[in-house]
Amino acid sequence: MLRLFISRLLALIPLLFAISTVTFFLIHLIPGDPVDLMLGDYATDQDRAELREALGFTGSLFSQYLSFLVNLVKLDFGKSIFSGVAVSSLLFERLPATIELSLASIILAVGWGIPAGVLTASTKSKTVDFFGTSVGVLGMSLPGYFLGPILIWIFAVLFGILPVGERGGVSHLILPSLSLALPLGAILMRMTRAAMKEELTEDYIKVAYSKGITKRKVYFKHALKNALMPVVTLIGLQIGMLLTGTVITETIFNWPGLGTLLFDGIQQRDYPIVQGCILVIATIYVLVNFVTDLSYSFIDPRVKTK
Amino acid sequence: MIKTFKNPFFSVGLLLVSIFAIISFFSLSIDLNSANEINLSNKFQAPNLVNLFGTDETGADLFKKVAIGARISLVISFSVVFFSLIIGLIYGSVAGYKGGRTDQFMMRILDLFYAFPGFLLALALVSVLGPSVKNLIFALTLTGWTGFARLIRGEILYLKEKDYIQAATALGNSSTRIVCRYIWPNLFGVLLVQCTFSLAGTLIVESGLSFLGLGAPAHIPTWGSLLNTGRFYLVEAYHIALFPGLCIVFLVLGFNLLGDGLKQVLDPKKNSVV
Repeated sequence: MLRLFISRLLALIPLLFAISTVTFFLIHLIPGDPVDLMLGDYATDQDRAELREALGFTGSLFSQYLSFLVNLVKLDFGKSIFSGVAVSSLLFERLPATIELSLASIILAVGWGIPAGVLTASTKSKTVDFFGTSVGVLGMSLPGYFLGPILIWIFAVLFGILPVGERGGVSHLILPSLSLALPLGAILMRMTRAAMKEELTEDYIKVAYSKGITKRKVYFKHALKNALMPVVTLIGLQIGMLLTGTVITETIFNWPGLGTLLFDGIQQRDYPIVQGCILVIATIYVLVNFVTDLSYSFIDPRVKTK
Repeated sequence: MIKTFKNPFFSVGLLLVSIFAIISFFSLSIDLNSANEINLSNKFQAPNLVNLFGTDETGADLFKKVAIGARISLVISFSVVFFSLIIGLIYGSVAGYKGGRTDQFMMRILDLFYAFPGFLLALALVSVLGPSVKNLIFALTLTGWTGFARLIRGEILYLKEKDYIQAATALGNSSTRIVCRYIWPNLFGVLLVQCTFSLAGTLIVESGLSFLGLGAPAHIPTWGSLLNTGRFYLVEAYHIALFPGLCIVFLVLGFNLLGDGLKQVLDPKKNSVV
């Protein structure tokens, strides 16, 4: 177990290195000079030189790359062009809001998706089964950026019972997390449903029944445990999707997280901020995948031996 | 063939996609400038017989804009899936058929692409390259081909051990010929299903980027950008957000249903539960 953990952890290093390299070249290989793009046509040569200096765009590309990497190890992402604040402090300030929103969404999604999947897979009722199918495929097709405005319209405009925008108590969290959790839960439900239905046809289920184990125990202790494997993979992947999905959701709900920071950075062509946000989101994404990978061996002991 | 059309998922999906295909075909006759024409005395009209979807905040007819948006979305999704398929087919085939070190090396590169969240990469690329349909297609292809490559490589690893491939090799066929003539035709079903789901996924990401203003240039109406405009006028005119949003949902739903239907028809035993 420890060896697996360490070898996977070591595999992260080249991955993180690659991510930072890609991010660096993404920002630095822009067609046209980013400095010109930012300053427009009326800037003087001195303005340009000053901005170049501030951005660290001096010297050869390779030396820029090296100093970028060195700064990265020191968690120095440079300074925001517009506010002059250190990007790292902005990132740390915004990160909790994004984590709060993502966690709330994933808990909600797992909370309704998996039980709904088990329920609609184990039913004999055709109506419930059809309901499961419809909700699954509809949820997959309903993007958060449409669901968000719908929820705002219903709960904030029509009934005026829930607030929109800004971070605050639980009431502020409801709409944004719902708009992420409903589609996400639908995908989880679909997967759980498919996996459960497949497991329920296996021989060991018949054996369990013939031993006189109650239905509920067969579903939740026997079938679900085996069906959970692909679902866990999916949850891991979805957390990653969620993190990137928050860029849109946070913009809609004016949620002060990494997503809005990135979006505003893009709008203002504040490249150090864009770079920092991409690096942080991509790193979290990689870490989540790492944890997902490890969690297999807890759920399925067979994985350990491989 | 008849069995395919009898599948309810497939036929409803096909119907939805066809409707949008027809709308976008007729949108070719709509002039972009006339669709964008500003007529402030006519703004925020609710849906009526003259303006089927009502008018937006500039007084322009929303239906015309949505129709043009349909064409943009379809063109982008199909181009992205087409290019992703071609790249994935070549990459996956080489990796899967060659095997060994080549395969290992190629898969490592693929892992790098997987490590980077696709939406974020597309977002960063478009924001750096600037909003244009071409850049959008490029960015989405760059993040979209990996799924195809991985799937195709896996299928080829499995297929190349089959007896008839061994026989074809023994008969002295070149590897290119074996891959193109004997392996690729067997991938048709799997790839068709993957393409439809991929169309749905691409559409969602494309509209999301347009929503953020990182899609097509501002003067071209897209579903995402219309939806984004509409959310600021939910109180005065909710229809501006409603219709583009519904279009996204129905077209994505159409592709997803097509995919589910095809999956059931092509592979009745495995994975047919939806």
